[in-house]
Amino acid sequence: MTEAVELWLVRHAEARDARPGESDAARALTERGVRGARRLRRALRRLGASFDRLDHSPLLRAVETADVLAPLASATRVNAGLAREPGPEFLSDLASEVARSHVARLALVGHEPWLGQLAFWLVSGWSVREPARQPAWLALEKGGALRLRGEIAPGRMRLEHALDSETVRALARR
Amino acid sequence: MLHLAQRLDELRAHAAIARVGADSRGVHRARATAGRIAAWLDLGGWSVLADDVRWLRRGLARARDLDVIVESAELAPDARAWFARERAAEQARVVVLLDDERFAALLAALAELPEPRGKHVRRALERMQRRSLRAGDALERAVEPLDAAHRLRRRLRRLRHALEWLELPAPVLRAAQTELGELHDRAALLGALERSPFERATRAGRDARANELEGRLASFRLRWPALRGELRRD
Repeated sequence: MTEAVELWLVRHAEARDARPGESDAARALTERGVRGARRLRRALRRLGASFDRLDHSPLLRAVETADVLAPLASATRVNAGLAREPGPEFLSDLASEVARSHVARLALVGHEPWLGQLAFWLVSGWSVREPARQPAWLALEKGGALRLRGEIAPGRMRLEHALDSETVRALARR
Repeated sequence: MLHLAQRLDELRAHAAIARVGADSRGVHRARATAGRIAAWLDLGGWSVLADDVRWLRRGLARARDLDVIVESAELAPDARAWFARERAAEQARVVVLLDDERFAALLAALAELPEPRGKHVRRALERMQRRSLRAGDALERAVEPLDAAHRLRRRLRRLRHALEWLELPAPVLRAAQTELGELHDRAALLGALERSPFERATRAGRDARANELEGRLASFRLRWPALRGELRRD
């Protein structure tokens, strides 16, 4: 059994559309997206959030979002598993790696619908293969975040905070 | 300014050679290219991916140190054979590292990064120069000069790599870093011998090497004030 972990799931901020001939991986944050990521950082600071490790997807919009949040993290790590649907292997690798590295506060910066699926899976234990069961409140807005706590295993975490854009704005303004 | 894409191609090529393990230049060059990429990240003001580059460099460090030792002209045949076996065992870890999905993800992420912007570049260069000068001053005062020389070598290397990206020559910097690099290799050889089963058999040789290392380090420390002035102008 692994230790309880504070897990933040963060969706990348607003990104521009792909230009003709450009890959989805190369989509950068818009100026509004950069401002949104900075706002999220301020909001997370207000909540006293800090991370032993911040994992991010290799896609540029997640890399840029993670870069804005990096001052809150002791270490960062690129994680290809965040750029695809989360499966049992991703979860078990993450859980064992987090236990091995004694990470107590972890942030994952990635994409929808996968982060929402992951949150739903961790909270409910229901399969991510059944997205129709996923309630809307677990879908993350761009530049939004969820805080979960518990063991990194299906059905072993509980949702503590859901930061939508309004909440982020309110927290950042305070 | 040079382009990152070219260095990424080089890193892929060196990593493929390192993975085979027949040519020691593969590991050495993969580490060196990763170091240059770390400097590029600094120039761009990136906070992310640096830990991943460090993970790659550290993962290859033992193989590199063993390659230097095995290729040292000073080893007795039995010691060389022993270190060669250690290096062969290390190769399995090199392969695991280079096959790790984290390495592929690092390459993928780097491939999409935009070129550094002017204001980041200027700030980063000033910061690197300040840190290098501070590390050199710390070496002058250091009680443990070998550790301080190691830190200075890394600072100078980062600054030199950054200047390389900008296609700016830095001959004094390069010479100082090369000298410190040789000292580091000597120290690595000494450390490895102390940890090997050959400690007793090679004591006389080890003492001579330790004395030589101390002498060269003392000479570098004496020259630092003059080097400091040249580095500021370099």
